[in-house]
Amino acid sequence: MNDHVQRFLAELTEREHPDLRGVYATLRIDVEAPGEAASWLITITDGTITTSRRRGRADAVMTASAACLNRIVSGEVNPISATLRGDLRISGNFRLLLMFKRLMPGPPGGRTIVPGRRSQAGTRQTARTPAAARSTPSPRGTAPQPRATSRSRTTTSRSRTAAPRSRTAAPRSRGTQPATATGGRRRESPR
Amino acid sequence: MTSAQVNILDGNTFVVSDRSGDIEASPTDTSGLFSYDTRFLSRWILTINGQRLNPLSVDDLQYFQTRFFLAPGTGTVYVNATLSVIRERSVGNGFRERLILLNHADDPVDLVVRLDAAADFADLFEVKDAVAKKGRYYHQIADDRLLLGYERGNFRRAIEINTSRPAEFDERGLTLRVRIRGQSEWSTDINVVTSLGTFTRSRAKPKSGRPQATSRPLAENLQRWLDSAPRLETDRDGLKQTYRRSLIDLAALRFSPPIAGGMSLPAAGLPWFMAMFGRDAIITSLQALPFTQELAATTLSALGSLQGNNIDNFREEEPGRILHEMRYGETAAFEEQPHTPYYGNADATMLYVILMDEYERWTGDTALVRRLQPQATAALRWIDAYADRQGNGYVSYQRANEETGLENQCWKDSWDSIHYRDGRLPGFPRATCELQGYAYDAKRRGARLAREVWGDPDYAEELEQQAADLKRRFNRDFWVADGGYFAVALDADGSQVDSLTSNMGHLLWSGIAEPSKARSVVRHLMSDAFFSGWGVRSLATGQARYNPIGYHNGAVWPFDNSIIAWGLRRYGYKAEAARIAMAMLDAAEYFQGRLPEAFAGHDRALTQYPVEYPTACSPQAWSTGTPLLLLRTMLGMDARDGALVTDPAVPQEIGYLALLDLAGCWGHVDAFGHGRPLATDRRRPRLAGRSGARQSMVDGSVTRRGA
Repeated sequence: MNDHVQRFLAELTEREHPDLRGVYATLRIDVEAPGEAASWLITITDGTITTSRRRGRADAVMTASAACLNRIVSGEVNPISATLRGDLRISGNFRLLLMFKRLMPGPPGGRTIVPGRRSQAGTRQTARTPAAARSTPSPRGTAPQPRATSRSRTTTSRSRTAAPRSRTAAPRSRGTQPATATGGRRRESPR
Repeated sequence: MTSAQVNILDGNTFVVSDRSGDIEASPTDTSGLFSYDTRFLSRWILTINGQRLNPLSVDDLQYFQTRFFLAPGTGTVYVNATLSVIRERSVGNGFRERLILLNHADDPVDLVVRLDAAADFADLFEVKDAVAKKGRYYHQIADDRLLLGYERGNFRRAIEINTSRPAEFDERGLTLRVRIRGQSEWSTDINVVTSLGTFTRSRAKPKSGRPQATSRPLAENLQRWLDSAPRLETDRDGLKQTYRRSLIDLAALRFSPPIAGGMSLPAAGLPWFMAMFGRDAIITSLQALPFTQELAATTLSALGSLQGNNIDNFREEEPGRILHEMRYGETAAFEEQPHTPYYGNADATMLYVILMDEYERWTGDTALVRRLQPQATAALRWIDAYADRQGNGYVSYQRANEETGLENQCWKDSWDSIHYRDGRLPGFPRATCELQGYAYDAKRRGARLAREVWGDPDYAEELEQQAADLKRRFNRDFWVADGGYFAVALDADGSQVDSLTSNMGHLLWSGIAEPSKARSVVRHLMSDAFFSGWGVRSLATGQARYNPIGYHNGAVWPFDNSIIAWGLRRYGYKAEAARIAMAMLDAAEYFQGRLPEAFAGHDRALTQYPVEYPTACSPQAWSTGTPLLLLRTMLGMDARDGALVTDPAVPQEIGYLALLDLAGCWGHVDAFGHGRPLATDRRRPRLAGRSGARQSMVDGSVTRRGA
């Protein structure tokens, strides 16, 4: 029932979180499920995360059904919209919850409109699961992705989360590669 | 919205009513009690003995409080002139209305006081559409209260109405049966309390609640706000009025989102844009920085907390991107609108870094800037990793959300704002020129922060090199040589979009224009084609799409002018900056000190007064911030190396101008200048802000208290 949440939390504990350096806080997830209610206490200690399956005092608490939480931690449901809908209830330190939200994957099908060469730079985001894409696909959504990778989305999202920290991985200076991107560019005619 | 309507507000809770205090919403009448982008009351009508009341006068006591003086009767004939009715309303989470009835006759009267109430719980984005709601309405009637609610799944919005005197409640309102002795008065408090179900901690179910914020703390808060602002001294009375108006309006525009921990940032406009907008909050915080620093600090923190970190086409979220707009209504909750938050802008991310640097210069608050280093770095990285959609090294935009996203993701966000000289519209992506200026400035400022605050000189050098390279390319690729100006954009092919627009004024602020080119830009901006006498038009006359009442195609935008004036000062064009400042401040006096969002681009000689552009929102945050930034440009104030430097260039019409108690990392400083004739013929442009500002014997600044 809580497989996704369990797996998501397990993954969090396995890696470093540079964005959370200097943060010391506790967060609790309460799962509402008939006969199967569960709680996780998540402790953030200066960039590392530990979890335990229990209730306990926390700086912020998220409460939702197991189905809702599973979809949130897999990126299918946006936690802010879920909160406004009343599907996810939050209490305590809002900013901490937003910090935690940043650890979650984005929606399936997320791509950014960047020229083709971007994929060479390693920052192009591609999707394997168009069926699960958002209800508002761009016209590009129908075109085959030139460089769709076979990496799982979870992996992709992880590398994304870690990416902003490593400036050295940023694309090289613009001036050195001007027109080569034109080939991968798509244009729209003036309306 | 007509001028006959009355608005009061506190944060994002506001009431729009007619001059009797009544609310009677319809697709053409957008009145109501709104909170968190939802209309909680669509009907609120007071009758006495079955009759509506006539307004005698309205006192706008404060922005959060108003008082309606009414008399019974219809038309001009007062049926009962011996009765006066006062409705005193203050906004909290909901509102409280004190109803006072005065019987001026000697005999007692028996009255049936009725308040019709209804709540349609329309989303702010639906109020003009009368959309059929997808959820269901419900109500609960108790002896002492009425609850009206709406639910759709777990989404719940409700309002509770209770009174301080016994009343009869039914599903359509409440009735009070009143007997008032001769020459006596009677009163009751009616509380209207909004509830967002389980959304926020402080707003639990409204159990016979009262609006939390009563007028007293709000009044104290406003006074504190005014007291803490620098004091203005000037010979020009109109400027005093404008300054005070700006401070009060800025107070009204303060908005405290749940993530801000009680601190406030500027919302974009009152009442319909009482929401978090990245661009508007940043620009307004920049304009107001010499006067209040709290807005900037909250803006940086709040926008940083909501900075994008995933790819989400619907919301146009990208790692590092700063949000465009955040909303809390039903359409946002159910993803019919992308506002949770929506990230579709191409400038706020760069403006974010610019504000961070400017904030640190003024306040010396290195702690916040250190804490936000990851956000700043991610924002800077977004410029190269995501914003270069043409693949040519320039920031450009093209919406990923084709259904509900914005086409033009720059400040001129109307659909037809970017076009060639002959009126054709370019394809996407579009790289507008001011975005390149912001990118340049963000990198330069990011470099300063990296060197001086984050202790990362390598990164600083990298950013500076990128900025220098961008500047070089920009002056080559955007320069329309035969016209002597910068193209408004590069189109999808990388060709110039060659209309003459005010966008290039922002390039002066950013410092990306080479001085020789800047001189030509200034000549354009101050020419008759641009300068109307009231300010610089958004689009020059003679361009195919020019229209004096074109929103972004000819109208004069005060905020735009304030940025241009700032830019003119940066390149040493003091007299030109003063000319714009004077024109704007003249215009402000026609609006009792409150500059509208925009006014028509008609020539000043033609209209004699500035013709307001008919927009829905007033005050608008960055118009409110305009006089503040203009004061800064007239006094030539800059924060440099922990000191406030001034270089006054005050128009003669202003006379003496002083700002006392300017707070900053230097402690408190006064800045002052004297108006004098300013020659517009400048021969040697100087990069003010590079060479030390010269201060004359009479003008300058004085440190009042040690840092």
